[in-house]
Amino acid sequence: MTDPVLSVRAVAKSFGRVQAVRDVSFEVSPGEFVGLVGPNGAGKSTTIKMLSGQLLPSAGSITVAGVDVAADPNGARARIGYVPEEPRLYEYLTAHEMVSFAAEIRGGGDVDAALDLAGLGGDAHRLIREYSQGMRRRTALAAALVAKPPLLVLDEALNGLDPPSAARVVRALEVACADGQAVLLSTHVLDTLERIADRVVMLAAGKVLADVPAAELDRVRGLFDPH
Amino acid sequence: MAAMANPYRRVHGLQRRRRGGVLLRLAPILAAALATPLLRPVLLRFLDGGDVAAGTADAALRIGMVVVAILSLNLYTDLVRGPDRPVLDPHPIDPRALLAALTWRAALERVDVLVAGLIVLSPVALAGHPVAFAAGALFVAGAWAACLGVPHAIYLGAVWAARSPRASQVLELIRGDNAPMHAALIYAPGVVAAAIGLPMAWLVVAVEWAIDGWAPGWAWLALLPGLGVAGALAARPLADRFYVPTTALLTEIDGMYAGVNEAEEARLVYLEWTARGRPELLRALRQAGRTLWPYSVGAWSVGALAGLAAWTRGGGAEWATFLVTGGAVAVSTLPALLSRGDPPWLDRALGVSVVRVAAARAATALLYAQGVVVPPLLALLVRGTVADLATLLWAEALAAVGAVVAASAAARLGSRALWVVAPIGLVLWAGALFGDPALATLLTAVPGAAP
Repeated sequence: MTDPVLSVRAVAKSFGRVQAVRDVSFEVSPGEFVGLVGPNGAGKSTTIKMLSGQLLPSAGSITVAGVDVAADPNGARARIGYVPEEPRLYEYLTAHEMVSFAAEIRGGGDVDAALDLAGLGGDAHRLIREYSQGMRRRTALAAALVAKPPLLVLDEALNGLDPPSAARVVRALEVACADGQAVLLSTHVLDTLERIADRVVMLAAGKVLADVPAAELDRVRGLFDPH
Repeated sequence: MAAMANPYRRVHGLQRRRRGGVLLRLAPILAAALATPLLRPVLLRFLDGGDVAAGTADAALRIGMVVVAILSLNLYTDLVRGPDRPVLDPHPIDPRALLAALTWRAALERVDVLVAGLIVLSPVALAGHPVAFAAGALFVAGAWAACLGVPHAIYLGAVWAARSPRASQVLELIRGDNAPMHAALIYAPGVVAAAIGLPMAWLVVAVEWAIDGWAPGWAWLALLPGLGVAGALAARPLADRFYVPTTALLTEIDGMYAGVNEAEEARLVYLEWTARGRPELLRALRQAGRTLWPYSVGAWSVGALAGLAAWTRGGGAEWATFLVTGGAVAVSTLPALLSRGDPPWLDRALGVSVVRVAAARAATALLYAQGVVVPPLLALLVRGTVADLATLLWAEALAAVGAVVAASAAARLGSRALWVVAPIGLVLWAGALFGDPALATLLTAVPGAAP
C-alpha cells in the first residue's frame, strides 16, 4: 500500500474559547480525489488553512509527503499546490508572468502546459487586473499546478464560477489526478463531487461526521442537512 | 544581473513600472517644498542669528525622527501585512531573497521621504551654510538608511516574541484589550523608533562636531548607516525562521478577533443611526466603524482637548482652532482609506453609483469630523465670542470641503488619493500651526473669522 500524501491526525484548533475544529483525522493517497464537505462553519476552511501551513493546530499533527507542516511550513508549501477561496495575485503581471514566477520559485515546471490545463492559453498575456474572478482562480490553479506538487488543495474552488470555468477547473483536477497528484477539494456543493471525487470527508461543527467513498454520498447526504 | 537573479525583485519592478503613479509619488516632495517656508520660522529659527551648528543638529534630529516614523510603519506594512504575503502564501519562498527585494523596494519607493526631509533642511544651505547642510543631510540620510535594515530584524523578532512562552508574561502586562500575541506586533514599530531613535539622539552631536570642523565627526555620521547594515544582517537568519510562520500568526490573530467581532456584529457601529434608508452611507459607516475605529476615538479625544482649550480665555480659541483644523485635516483622509480594500470593480459589478459611494464617504468623513468640531463649538457657545464661533464654523466648512475633495479624489484614484489629500492637508495645517500669514489671510477672508 502506498504511503498517504496527506495525513491529518487528531487535529484540533481553538480560537480562545471557540473550538473551530476538534479531533479531525483523515488521509489522502497519491492519485486520489477527495472532497472535504460540510455546511458553512463546519471547519473546512480552518482545516484547509492548517494543512496548508497558514494556521498552526492547537493539537494533533499534519504531514504532507512526509513533511510536518507545523515544523517546516515552507517545506510543506513546496509539496502543496494551494488555491485559496479568494486567490491574491500580482495584479500588474500577466497570467503567463505570474505562473512563470510560481514555476521559478517552486523550482521549475511547464508554464504553457499549466496555463493550457487551466484553460487560460488565449488570455495568458493579459494583465491579471483585467481578469474576472473565474480567470483569477484559474490563474491561481495554473500556478498551483505548474510544478506538479504531490498534493493539490483547493478551498471552495468551484464557488461562483460560471459552468464553463467550473468545468475547466474540474477537468484540470482530473488530469492532475490521472498524473498521480492527490487532490483535496473543499466545497459545500455536493453534486459535483458525486461525479468526480473518489472519497468524501464530511465535516460538521468541527468534527468528521463521515469518511466514505463518493459512490455512497447519497447514504450520508442527510447528515449535511443542518436541520 | 542581480535584479534578474532575484525573482521577487523582478516582479516588484514589473509591478512598479506598470502601476505608474510616478507623479503621485512626487506628492510628498511637493508638499515638503510647499511646507518648507512655513516650517522655517519654527524649525530653522536659528538661521536668523542663532547657533548654526546646534540648530542644524536639532533640526536634523527632528527631521530624522519623522523619516524614521514614516519608514518604520511603511516597512511594517510591507513585511508583515503587505501585498506580497497573500500572493506568496500558497508558494514556498526564499526568505532571504524576498527580504532583499522588500528592502530594495522600500529604498526605491521611499526615497521620496528622504528627499522631502532634505528639502525641509535646504534653507540651511540657501542661507550660506553648505557644510552645516551637508552634515545635517548626512545625518538624515543615515537615519533613512538605518531604517532600511533595522525594522525588518525587529518585526521578525516580534514574531518570535509573539510565540515565545518567555515573552508571554511581558506581553500579557502590556497588551491592554489586544490578543496577547498581537501585542508583540502592535508595539514593534515603537521598538523600532527606540532602537533607531536612541542612537540618533546620541549621535546627533556628530553633526555639531562636523560643522565645527572636527573631522572625526564625519566618520561618526557613518555609524547610522552602519546600524542599518547590522540590522539587515541580523534580519536574514530571522527571515529564514519567522517570515513564513508570520502568516500562521496573523491568521490566528484574525481568527481571535473574528470571534470577538461575531459577538459584536449585532451591535450598531458608530453613527449608524444616521444612515437609515441610505445603504451606501450605511456601508461606509460600517466599514469605518469596524476598520478605522481609531478615527472616532481620536476625533473625540482631539475634540475634548479643543473643547478644554476653547473654554479657557486668552489664547484658548487659537489653540482650539489649531486642534480643530488638524483634526479636520486628519479626518479628511477617511474617504481614501475607505476606498482601500473596496475595489471599484466591486461597485461596478454590484451596479452601485460611483457618485453615491463618493457622497457616502464624504458624509462619513464629515460625520466623523463632528467629534473634533462639536466639543469646542459647545464651549464657545457658552463662553466664547461670536468671532471665535465663526472661526470654528469656518473649520467645519473646511472639514466639509476636505471631505468632498477627498471623496472625489478617492473615487478616481482609490486609496492612492491619500497621497494627494494628506500632503495638501499637512501644508494647510502647517500654515495653521506656525501662524503662517497665508492661512491667516485665508481665515480672515471669512467675515468675522479672524482667530
